[in-house]
Amino acid sequence: MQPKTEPWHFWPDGAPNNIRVESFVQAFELLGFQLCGDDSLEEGFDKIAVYATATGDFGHAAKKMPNGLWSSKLGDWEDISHTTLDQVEHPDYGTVKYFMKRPTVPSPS
Amino acid sequence: MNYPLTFPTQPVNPLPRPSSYYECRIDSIDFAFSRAFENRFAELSVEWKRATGMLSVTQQKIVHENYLEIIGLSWNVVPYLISDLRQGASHWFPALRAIAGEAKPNDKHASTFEEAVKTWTDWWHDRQHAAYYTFPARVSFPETA
Repeated sequence: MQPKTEPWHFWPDGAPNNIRVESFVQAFELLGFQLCGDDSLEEGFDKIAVYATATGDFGHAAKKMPNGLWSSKLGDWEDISHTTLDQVEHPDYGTVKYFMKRPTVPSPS
Repeated sequence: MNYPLTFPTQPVNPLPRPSSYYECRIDSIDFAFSRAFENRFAELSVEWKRATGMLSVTQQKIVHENYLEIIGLSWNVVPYLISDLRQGASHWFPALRAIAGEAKPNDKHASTFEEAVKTWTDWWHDRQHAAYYTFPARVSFPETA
């Protein structure tokens, strides 16, 4: 998910089409996420951590897995799992600024 | 831009030559210049992919200095961008639009990556005899039919 620079990019209608972290928060809200206060594992919820760079742009998003670890997609590189959120802090990714969660949607059987 | 004074015999990242490369009558020095562009693009694109591979947002990837320098290579680099697109690289459309400017094709109808690649490939095929190259004056272009 990213602001549209090409027609095939997925970006929720209604979210501002820029890379400010608040725009990504609005985009996630359009996908059912709501801001929450912490990174704790909650059964029945998908939880993400949204990173912002020093300039206030979106940097990265990590997803909480059912086993308590975090999963990160590193752009064109491999997906990784990590135990703490500061393990992927980087000038290009920034630091964690928001936590969001939404009720888990059961996968179709 | 500083191009190498000696031209490497082996390209850093050999790319398939566009058909237009063979259609210009060039002497051996201009052959070396074209290889220099090819090698310079290869150096810049490999380093750009290494430096921005961890980023997911195109708008962040394309502001890297190497990407901007690739745009600065202008029309000389267009065949290599299109060749890279045809091999699956997906981030060269902003560079192509910046280089082509008003001459860019109408790719708004392209709803998929594959359609956009075909649009740009067809556009370049139609333009390859008319594109300007910044080679020295000794380059001669094929006579139009």
